[in-house]
Amino acid sequence: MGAPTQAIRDLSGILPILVLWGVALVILLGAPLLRRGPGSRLAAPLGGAGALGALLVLLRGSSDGFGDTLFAGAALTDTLYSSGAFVLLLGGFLSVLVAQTYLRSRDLEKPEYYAIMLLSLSGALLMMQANDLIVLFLGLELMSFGLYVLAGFARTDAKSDEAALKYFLLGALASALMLYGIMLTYGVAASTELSNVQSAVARGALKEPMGIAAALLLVIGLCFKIAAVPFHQWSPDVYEGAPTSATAFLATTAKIGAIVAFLRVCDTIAGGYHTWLPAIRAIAILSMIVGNLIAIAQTNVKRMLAYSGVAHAGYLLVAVACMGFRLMGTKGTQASILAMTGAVFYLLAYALALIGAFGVLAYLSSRDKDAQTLNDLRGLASSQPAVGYAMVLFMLSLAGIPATAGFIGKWQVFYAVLTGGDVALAVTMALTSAMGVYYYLRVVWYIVFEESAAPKPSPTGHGVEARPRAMTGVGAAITICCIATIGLGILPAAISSFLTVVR
Amino acid sequence: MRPGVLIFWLLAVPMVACALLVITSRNPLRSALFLVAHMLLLAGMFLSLSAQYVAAVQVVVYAGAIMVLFVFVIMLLNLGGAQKMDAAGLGWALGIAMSLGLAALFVGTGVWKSGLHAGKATAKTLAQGGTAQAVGFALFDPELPWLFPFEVASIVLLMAAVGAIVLAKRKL
Amino acid sequence: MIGLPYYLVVGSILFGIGAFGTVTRRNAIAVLLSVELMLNAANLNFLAFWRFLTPAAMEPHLFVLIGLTVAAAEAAIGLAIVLNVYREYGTVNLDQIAELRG
Repeated sequence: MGAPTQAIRDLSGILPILVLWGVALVILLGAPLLRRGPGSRLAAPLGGAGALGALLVLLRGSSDGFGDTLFAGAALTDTLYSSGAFVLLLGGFLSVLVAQTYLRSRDLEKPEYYAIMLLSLSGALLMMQANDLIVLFLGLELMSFGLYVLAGFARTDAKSDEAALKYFLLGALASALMLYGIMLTYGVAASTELSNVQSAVARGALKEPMGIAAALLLVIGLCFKIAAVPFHQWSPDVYEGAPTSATAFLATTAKIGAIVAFLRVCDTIAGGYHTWLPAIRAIAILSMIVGNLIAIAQTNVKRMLAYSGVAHAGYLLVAVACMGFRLMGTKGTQASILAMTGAVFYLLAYALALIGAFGVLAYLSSRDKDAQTLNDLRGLASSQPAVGYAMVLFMLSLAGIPATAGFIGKWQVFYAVLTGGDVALAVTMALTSAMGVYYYLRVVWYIVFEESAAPKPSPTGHGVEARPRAMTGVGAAITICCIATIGLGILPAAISSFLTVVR
Repeated sequence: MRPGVLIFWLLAVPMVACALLVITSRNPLRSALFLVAHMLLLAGMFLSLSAQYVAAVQVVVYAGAIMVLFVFVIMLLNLGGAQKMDAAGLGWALGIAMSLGLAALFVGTGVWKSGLHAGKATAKTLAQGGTAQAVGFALFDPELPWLFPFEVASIVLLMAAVGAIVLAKRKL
Repeated sequence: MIGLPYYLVVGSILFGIGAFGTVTRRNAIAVLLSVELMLNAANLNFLAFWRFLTPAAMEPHLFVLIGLTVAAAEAAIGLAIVLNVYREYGTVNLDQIAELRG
């Protein structure tokens, strides 16, 4: 029979998810103790331990049982999952660090915040491990529900409530479209398991109207989550309105989870690329152009990062488009594998720079002031050099300047799409990246060359409001992001053993 | 006319009418009540497809629990009166274009499917397939992949409960 | 004989009605109700596929149950958010909930 060993194998395959669930339950059960008094200092460390614990479990157990399906075909483990999960959990850990300081300074901290974060991370992990579209849908919903709640976490702040409402309504619409797409997939494939979907596609399911509709609905649903044009309208409002720590978390988590799921879905339906590849290419090109163009006009850094996030969704969709080349000869296969690895590296670089940038905003926020405009960054390099230059570094990495991680990520995706032979996408990517440099450098300009608008810093080097916070969570998060951004920019090979996707 | 055909039309026409009333009523409470009626008719349609268990769940959980929650919130916020609210111009154009496009697309796909009959339903499979017993066996069979998603659904509900409390409870 | 296409067409119409409501209604609760319509349309078609395409498989029933769970969770979170918005803005009209612009 061998049932017990099978059960143990199944459970060890989802061990990171189990760790996240376990720690989240501990936080929820211990919430009365963690809410006030001396216990309140323990909530954030517990949340951090949850994310870090899941990361360690992932790294330890990542060698055996690969390429297997778990739970009789509901989930799977492979290198795309493990490398995506590495990036996701690292981002989750850094987001806990940012939240620890930010929530405290805005007087918002509740232990439930961390529990919801961990549950949301488990949903994203589930999306990456899904071997069945219904499991993917469940993971997507689990992740999204947490993100809606976190966006509205500052519930006496009207903007936060509005952000949550907009995010929720569009998210609910997207998930309804997605469920309909899954239903149509069942209609053409008589199953929602990815391997069956793949063989249905090989039989020509994507030439039938129902198959085409199913593929398009799945693509639209996922495009909502990564905020690609024309499904991006929610993102600037949500980024601006949500508490900064929640923005950092939802921007990275949703993008990592949805892009990895996107890669997997498009890899599965690669056989019918003529149906979906034109749509993905159009959405990618639109996202790169529109995102970069609108970002130029923004004076609010959070909104600017939202539109830059739209542009980054476009770059990542270029990698997704490469999945369509898989069956076009050896070059195409090579391009699709390069694109998977490149996309995961890109996500890592993006997460580090974005969490770092939101971390700087969180660092500058206090009880009465929520830093989010360019004016709040004015003259930062002279008033608080360490934070100021960290922000400069993150902007350079987002812009893709060489010697930062952002450049390596962009280069890998660029190289993959060139290998695939899609010159139009590659050229658009290069041109729009150059366009993006402008608004990132404008932030740098404000930090380095503009005079500080705030009262002159006191002789000790700190402003009136600026408290030394280097030892708090956000300081640690910014430090880690800085080191990793430079380190990966110079030595990308250092981490390739975790991030390389093989088939 | 055969009884099956009659039952289909008796359910389908009022169901679509209720759906239209849900989105056209200016009063949200009326919308919610039409949605309850819609769901009861839908449960009837599930029965006509011989999905007994799901039909029962539809009545108990959807028409019962979820819709009561909606009605409760509508009453709590005192939105019972007529609201003036609907989008003008662009919103309508977009809505009409989108829904007509979607419906046309799916009607097309539906009609196209008419020739396809992959599996032949026998009276036996239908009598047994939709029962609580059959659904339960399928759900908890370790040889099938559905046990794990079922457990995940419990976490989704946990998330919803915690999230709703965190957001809505006045003092925590 | 009422076959699969009839059910699929009814599902499509319900889905289209729901999509229309989601886009045009300005009352947040009405939008939520419209989303429920769309989810129901998917459920109906799942069961129609079971009845006419794969009567031996049990998946569609389980998918409907899972979809129902998700809808319940979604309603709970959505209504909590609407409640908070109402407390801050005194309305659930999406046109009047517009502090975030730019």
